Amino acid sequence: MEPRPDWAPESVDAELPSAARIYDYLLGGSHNFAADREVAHRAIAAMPDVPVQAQANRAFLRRAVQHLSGLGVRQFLDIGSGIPTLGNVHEVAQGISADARVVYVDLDPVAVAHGRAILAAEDRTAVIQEDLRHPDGILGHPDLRGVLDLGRPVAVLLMAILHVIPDVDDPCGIAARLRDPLVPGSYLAIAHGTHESRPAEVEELRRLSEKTATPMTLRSRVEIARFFAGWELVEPGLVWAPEWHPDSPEDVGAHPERSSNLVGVGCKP
Amino acid sequence: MAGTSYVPMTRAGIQAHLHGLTERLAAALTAEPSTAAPGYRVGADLVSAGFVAAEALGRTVTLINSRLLADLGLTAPEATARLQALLEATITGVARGIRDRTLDEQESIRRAALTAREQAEQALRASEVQQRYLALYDQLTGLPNRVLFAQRLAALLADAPPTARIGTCFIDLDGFTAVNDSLGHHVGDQLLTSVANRLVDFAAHGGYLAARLGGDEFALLVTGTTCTDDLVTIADRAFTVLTVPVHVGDHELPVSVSIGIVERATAGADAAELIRAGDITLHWAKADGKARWTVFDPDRNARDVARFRLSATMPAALDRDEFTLVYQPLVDLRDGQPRGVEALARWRHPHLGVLHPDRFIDLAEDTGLMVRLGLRLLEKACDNLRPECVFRAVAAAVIHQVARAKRSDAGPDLVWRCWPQPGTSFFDEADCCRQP
Repeated sequence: MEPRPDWAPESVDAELPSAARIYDYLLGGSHNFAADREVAHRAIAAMPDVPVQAQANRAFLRRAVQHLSGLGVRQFLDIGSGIPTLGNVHEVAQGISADARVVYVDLDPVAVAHGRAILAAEDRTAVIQEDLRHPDGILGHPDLRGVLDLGRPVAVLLMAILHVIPDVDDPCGIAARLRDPLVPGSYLAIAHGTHESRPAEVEELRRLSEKTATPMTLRSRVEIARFFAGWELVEPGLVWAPEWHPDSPEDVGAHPERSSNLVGVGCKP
Repeated sequence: MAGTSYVPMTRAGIQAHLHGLTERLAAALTAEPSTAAPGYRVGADLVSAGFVAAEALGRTVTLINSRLLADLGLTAPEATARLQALLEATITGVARGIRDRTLDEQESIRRAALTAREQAEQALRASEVQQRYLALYDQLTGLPNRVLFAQRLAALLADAPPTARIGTCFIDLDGFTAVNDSLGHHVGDQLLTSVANRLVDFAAHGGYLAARLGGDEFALLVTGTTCTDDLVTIADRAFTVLTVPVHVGDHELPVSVSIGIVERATAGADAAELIRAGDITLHWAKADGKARWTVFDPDRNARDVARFRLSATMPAALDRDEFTLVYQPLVDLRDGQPRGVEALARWRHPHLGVLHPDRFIDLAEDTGLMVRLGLRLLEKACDNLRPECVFRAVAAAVIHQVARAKRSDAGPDLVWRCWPQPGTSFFDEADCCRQP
């Protein structure tokens, strides 16, 4: 295929499975196309509890936003937000404090168009189409500046997105460029897939993801911890998704490591 | 129920919500008169809370069937019938809720896909328009560029009636490089913009097309001329309009232009040839001293073309060793004795015959071949000399080159004299090589 010239905009191809729509399907949504469901079915065949893992990540997002709202955070930047579905960040945050402001960022033009349609009436939210690989483009985006005040603390949410950034794109550098401009008291929440608990099944998922627009790069606990470099991890640190501030002890279950996702929240000192 | 679907609530929240729904079912079972309608609404509410997975429906059926009557202590057969009706209504509510929700979500995601595709197509079209603009217009002045100028010229030639005539004025700013170098590109750009604006006004009044061909070169395309003098009149007016000083900041910049005028019948004219003629005529205006207009001259053009063709063959001619020397004895008139020889350059051209230096020395200078040619001929001369004369021959050649470099009006020459006797002075070599 010819390389896309710089001036040509991103194309929209519903035939190409999108991580945002696959995730929506795994959470029980219907904002997806046959190509997305096809990949989701194969993922479930390789790892039957993939939907449970998606739910665990989504539940961590909800708990992290609740926790941070409880700490007084009123600004959220959700990068890789996917298809707006039940329990969106602004619903959770504004449920706690009506003045909470949220900016959603996704690369998928369909997810962005859908988000804008749903949030058209919300003036404390914005949806921008950007690539995590351009953090300056995100933080400098006029729509973001219209909603968030970067002079005050912001919670950046990177849910199941850093693991679609290959090493060649320097994810540590990207995380640093997101962290550095933020003021002290800002937070960074990360959920990241790892091969540490179920290497064979996770490798199968990774191979499947090569057919999507966003292939996965799974990382170790040590590598994931580096994304918080210099920031203080909120208790209980970098843990399996169900272990982070569970609503009740029984939510953790006997095998939290089966979630295959390590999560953590860091605070800028 | 928890774990079957993603429900954005805490465990306690889910329990409270499900408890409420169960109470409503219980109330429906014991209500008088009996009604199954609450079951339908409970089913719908389960779906709105997020219990949309198939497993959630299965679990709901099991829980209602296995627990509800027993927990309420209802045992009458009538209660079982009520329960069946309530269960049916609940399942219908859930199924319809899921179906409606699925259809809504499918509709919204397809609409979003459509919107995204439209936006992408719009962006593509916008970028294509932008690309087209950038490809055809000069960014600094907004004038058509050389490509668009050539396109318009070709289109006019193609559509012109058989008797029509057309003209171009190629206009170049004299000494523009000096402005850029001394005052900076910022000032240079403003000067270009000012000149472009004047040209646009001038062209708009006359109905001509103005273009920026590149750098400090502009052009006017004029249609409907009847003869070359028409265009000369227009060029003269343009000259007057353009050569008013431009003020940029504190600088008053004098403007001087050279104009090359080409005017001819459209019949048989070719756009590329017209542009080439415009370029060369402008070059003449510059070479003739700048700050003037010059009209295209077919004879001068033919000479230039012939010269260019000749110069293009020079490197190959050097490789093929076509340059040679002829020798002319220098005789002392007092006693008739030979005192030395003059070496005279010749080009034994395969088609044009033996060419004298006045045909090729300037070309060698212009194309940078002079040093190579000079060394080659010097070598030849040295080969032919008696060894004791070589040193003097080389010294004379060097002195000659210095003398030549100091002359501003270097004429055609390439002659080395080899003096066997010391102390003899030079002739003017140009005189020697000019044939009577």
